[in-house]
Amino acid sequence: MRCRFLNTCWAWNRSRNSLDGKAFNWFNETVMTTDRYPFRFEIAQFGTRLGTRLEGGTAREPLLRALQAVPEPGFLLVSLVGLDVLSGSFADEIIAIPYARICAGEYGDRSIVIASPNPEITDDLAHKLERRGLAMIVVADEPPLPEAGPDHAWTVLGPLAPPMHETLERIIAVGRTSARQLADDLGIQHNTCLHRVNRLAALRLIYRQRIGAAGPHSMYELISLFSDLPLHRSP
Amino acid sequence: MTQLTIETVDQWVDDVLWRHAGRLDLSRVDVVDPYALLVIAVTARQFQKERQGQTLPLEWPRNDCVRAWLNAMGLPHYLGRTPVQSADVDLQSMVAQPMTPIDTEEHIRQIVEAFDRRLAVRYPLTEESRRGLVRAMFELFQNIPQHANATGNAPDVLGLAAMQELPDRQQFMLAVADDGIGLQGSLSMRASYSGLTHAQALSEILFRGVSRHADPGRGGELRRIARLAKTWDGTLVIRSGNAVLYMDSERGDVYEAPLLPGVQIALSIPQYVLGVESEPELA
Repeated sequence: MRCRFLNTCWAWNRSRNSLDGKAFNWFNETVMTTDRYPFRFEIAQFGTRLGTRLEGGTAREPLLRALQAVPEPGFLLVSLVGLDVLSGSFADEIIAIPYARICAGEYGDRSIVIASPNPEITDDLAHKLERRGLAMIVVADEPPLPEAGPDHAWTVLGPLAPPMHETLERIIAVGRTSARQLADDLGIQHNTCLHRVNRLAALRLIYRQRIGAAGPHSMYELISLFSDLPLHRSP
Repeated sequence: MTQLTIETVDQWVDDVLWRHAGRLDLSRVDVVDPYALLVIAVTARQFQKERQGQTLPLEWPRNDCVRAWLNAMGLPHYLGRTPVQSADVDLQSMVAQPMTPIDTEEHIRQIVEAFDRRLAVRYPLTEESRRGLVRAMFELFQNIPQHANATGNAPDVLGLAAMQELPDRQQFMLAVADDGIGLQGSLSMRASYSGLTHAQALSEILFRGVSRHADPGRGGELRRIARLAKTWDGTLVIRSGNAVLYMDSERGDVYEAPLLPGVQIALSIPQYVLGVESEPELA
């Protein structure tokens, strides 16, 4: 049974990710099925109370192997289900450090999404991401409350400014878009939009696929991590 | 009433190590808290090092109950002595968690789980409080193997942890101590932080979240624990070298104290955070 605190947190997250009534139904349909996300890594395999850097560092290697096995573009769903305690030190070693390496480009077009049963368990991870200037997408590993509707079941862990969050929301809502279309949708300048999506792509919160060029500039399709895959790479 | 507590222990350290009292007279002590207990263990060890192996002469408390508690907490062992004669009391119910050695990082999880089990037996903790304490223990305990001998200059570090409720104050205290290189010694491994005083090193670590690692993901844990203590209306005391930081929900100040090796920490929280208003449920 979920406590009131957690209900409040998830309700807050849902309202934060409100998409103005535009249905985004990935959670109910597919998000937690193993068919949709076969590349899933269970942190609880290392225990339920995870606290030391030593243990986190040891556990990192299997996670990186699982990440390598994910076809590009794609993400590894790292599940925190079953954990009682996840300390900042362990979380840094097993999640934040690999994610920093992903953002540095070491793992190509791969990313990590966190599945967490409650916000409390990700508290110390959020602190480590903040220190590293990283942000990750978190999904709930349980059905949303019925009254909240089928959408809004993701949130961002780590620092992400409201305009960036708004941009990410839009990309997730539509699945695929272009920077120009996104700028129109959000009512912002094209250059501002490019700045935002570049940052989101650098944080590995979206995929970005080159689809051509306009003069000296590359043109990209911006793709939600949850969009249907595979992508079609341009030469 | 003579107290050997977080507020008074530095006077005892000063007497033993710097005013050459040459002995530790606990005869009139009626109250001891776990932080003071660990500081005394570190002081006695330092005395032994400075006096070429001489054991610190000691007079045990006359108070039978205090003597029994010191026995049960394991102090005689860390002073190189046999247990002192004391009253026949129910030690299992008296002691929250005796002095526990913290050596290698491999053992930290087992130690934390043992502390957690003792907490569960004694308190009707909420899940939120229990998890907060467990996370704090993980970070505090692993600091000893990770940092106390980071330079290699303190090869035989003594690391200890203990916990006890303080009924007079309606508080619970978790204490952690080592006699390693201290926060200044650890931070001085980064060139940009060498030459800091103990107080400066303490402030950098607490208020700016820096660590001896340049990696931005390292550090900030003591700061998080300080915030946790504040959330709980508790206090956090961190002693390193000759600096003591006292932080409560109102303020955080650094004071000068007699020089002592290593880092000693006390996290004190009101018992209501642990789910009780008055006496704990005894084992």
